[in-house]
Amino acid sequence: MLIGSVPLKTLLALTGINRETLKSDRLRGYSVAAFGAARPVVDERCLLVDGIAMLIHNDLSGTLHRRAAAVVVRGFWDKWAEALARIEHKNEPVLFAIGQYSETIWWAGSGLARELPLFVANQPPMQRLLTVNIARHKCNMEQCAEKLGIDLSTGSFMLPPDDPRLVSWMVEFRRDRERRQEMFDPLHMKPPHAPSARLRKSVEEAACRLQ
Amino acid sequence: MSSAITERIADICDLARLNTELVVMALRRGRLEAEQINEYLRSQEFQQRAEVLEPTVRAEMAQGRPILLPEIADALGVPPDIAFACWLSQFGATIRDVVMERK
Repeated sequence: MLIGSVPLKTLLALTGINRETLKSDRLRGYSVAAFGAARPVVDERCLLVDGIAMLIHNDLSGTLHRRAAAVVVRGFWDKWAEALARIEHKNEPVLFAIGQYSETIWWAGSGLARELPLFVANQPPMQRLLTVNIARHKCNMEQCAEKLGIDLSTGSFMLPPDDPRLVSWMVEFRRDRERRQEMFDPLHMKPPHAPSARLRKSVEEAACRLQ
Repeated sequence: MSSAITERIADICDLARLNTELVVMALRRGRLEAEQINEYLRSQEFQQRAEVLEPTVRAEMAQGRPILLPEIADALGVPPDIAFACWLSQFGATIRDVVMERK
C-alpha cells in the first residue's frame, strides 16, 4: 500500500480549506504539511496526509494562535501521524492531544481515546487541553471524496504504524526534534528543519497518484 | 477502510473527548468553588430550576435526542460537568446521551 497523493486543487476540495487561507498561511509562514514540513514534500503533488495536517492546523487554531498551531502540527507530526496510522490500519480510536501545565510547560502525544480521561484525571490540573479527533477529519475527507466521485481506495492516508519506512522517517524526525528542544513551548519553539533529501525521496517512492 | 468504519472510530473519539472535557472541568475547580456549588445544589432555586427542566429532558431522552449539555447547565445554573454528574445521570443519562455542541 502506498500513500495517496492528489493535486492541490483536489486536496483543497477534500478538506474544504479555502485557497486564500492557504495562501495567507504560506505568506505568513504558518503553513503546514506532513513530515514537519511547511509545504508538501512531494513536488507538485499533495499527499492525503498533508490534508490531515491542514485540518489539524485549523482545528487547533480555534484555540491557539495560528502560528502556535502550525508549530504544534509541524513539531509533532510524528505523534499525530502515528495516531492516523493506527486509526487507518488497526481501526484503533486514537486521539492526538496537547496540554499546557504552565506558561512554559506543555506536552503533546497520542493514545487510545478511552484512556485519555483517566490519564488526564491523574495529571496535575492543566491550563489548557486540546484534543484533535483525527478520525473525524479523515472521515470528513473520505465522505467528501465519495461525494466528489474521487476514488481514494488505491492509496492510503499513511503507511501502517509498523512499516519500516514510516518507522525510519519518525526516527529521523524525533532525533532532529530532540536536538532542537528540551522543552516544548509552541509560542516560542522553532519549526522543524526541512525534511532531508533522503526522506523526500523515500516519501516519493512510498506515494502514488490517485488522480 | 470505508468512511463508515472511520466514522465509528470518530464517534468513539468524540465520546472520549467529551468525557475528558468533563474531567478537566472538575479538576480545575478549587475547594471554595466546589463548596459554593454544593451549597447551591441544596438550594431552593436549584430545585425549582431542576423541576422546570426535568420534563423537557426526559422527553428528549425518550425520543433518543442528544442533550445539549451547556444548555442544560446554563438552565440549572451549574457548570456542565456538575449538570451531568449531579443531575442528568439520575435519569439514566450516560456520556453517549449528551453533546457539547449541536452538529
